[in-house]
Amino acid sequence: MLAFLMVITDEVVRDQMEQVYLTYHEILYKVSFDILKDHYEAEDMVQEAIINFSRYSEKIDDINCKKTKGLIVTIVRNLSYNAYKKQNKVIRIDHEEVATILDDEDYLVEKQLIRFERSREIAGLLSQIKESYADIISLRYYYELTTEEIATLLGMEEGNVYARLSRARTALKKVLQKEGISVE
Amino acid sequence: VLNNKSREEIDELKDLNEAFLKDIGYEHMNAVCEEADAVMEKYKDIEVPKSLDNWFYGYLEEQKKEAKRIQRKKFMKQISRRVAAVVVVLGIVMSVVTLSVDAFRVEFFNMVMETSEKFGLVFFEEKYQEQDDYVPEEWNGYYPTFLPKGYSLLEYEIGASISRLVYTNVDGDTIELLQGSMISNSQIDTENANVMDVDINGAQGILAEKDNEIIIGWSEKNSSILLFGNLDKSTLLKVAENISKNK
Repeated sequence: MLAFLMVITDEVVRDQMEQVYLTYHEILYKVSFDILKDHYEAEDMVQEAIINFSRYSEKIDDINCKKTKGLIVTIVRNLSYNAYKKQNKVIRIDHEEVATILDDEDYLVEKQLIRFERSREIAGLLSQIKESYADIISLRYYYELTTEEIATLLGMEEGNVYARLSRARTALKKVLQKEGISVE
Repeated sequence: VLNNKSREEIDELKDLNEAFLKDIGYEHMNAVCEEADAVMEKYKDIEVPKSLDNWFYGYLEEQKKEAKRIQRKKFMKQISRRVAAVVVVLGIVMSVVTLSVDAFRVEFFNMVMETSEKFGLVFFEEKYQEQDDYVPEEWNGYYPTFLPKGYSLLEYEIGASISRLVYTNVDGDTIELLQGSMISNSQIDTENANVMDVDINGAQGILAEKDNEIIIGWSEKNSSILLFGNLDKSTLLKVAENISKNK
């Protein structure tokens, strides 16, 4: 009985993966191509994104929802940026990269200053500083993924996930300060 | 931020900050989807290579095989555990039956003893003893050089044509050796007996088993020998094979 149920589960996961592939392979390919401008490289990135996503697929409730789409596009985009940086030997050192790491008890805003209606604008500003910062905030706090899961999906070391999260929070704090939202 | 705040206020602030970050994450996810749609529109004329489909279905097939392999491995593990359990239970049941039913128990111990006799020389040395001391001085004929442990000479008779030696143990079991020129195998009572041919040190003989008594008869040079005993077949045969002649 257990073996039978396992077969069913495996079949469900495989069917789900096929559905994911059929729904998103085109958009993944084009997003990756937009970054790398190379068909073969884009194909490789889609493959890597599908393999990484398959490890997380059990947590997906609805394949066609925007949340799933946003996640898988975020994965392929990050993989493509990493590949681009490796190809072009890009080493970017900006102020965020060398920023002091914030600890978890360092809060971004005071209760009375939180304005959720400005979230979209702030997310856009953060994305302008660095898209990967907005991505990591989204993966950690909106998708509620652990740092280990993020590392698996984006093909990174877990330590680098911690570092990027910390830098993203620092960058966000600066965005808020710039926008006149005081931070203690 | 945290100055002069209670633990509850800090927790609330933490939750609100996480909610704020979640909202930013949600908005960013929406932006990502919109950007991806824009990219789709930008590259609407580009076709996705067929090789990507080939790779995916190959990957899916590999995953299927891997899942089957893992499943088979788990199944074999479960089966081997069950087989091991059945073997253990069977072993216990057979041991209990063997040792609790009289007939099986006797058969079992006989089997163990026969096996031990066949393969255990050390055991034989313990079971047998040298009998030189128990041959009368005036004895002129064949006598057993080995007997089961505990046997001693009970009586003997030296006749003109027939001589006999009788050995006994504390249980009253006897081994009798008859020898002479006037006796022959034809004198053995084989009616309703299990009879078989035996080889006693190269000489052809017969062994008859009847009413728990065994008789072995064979010839040594000019004498015929009969050996009687109510012990087991293999032990009496061993006695027969160790017959010597003094003087």
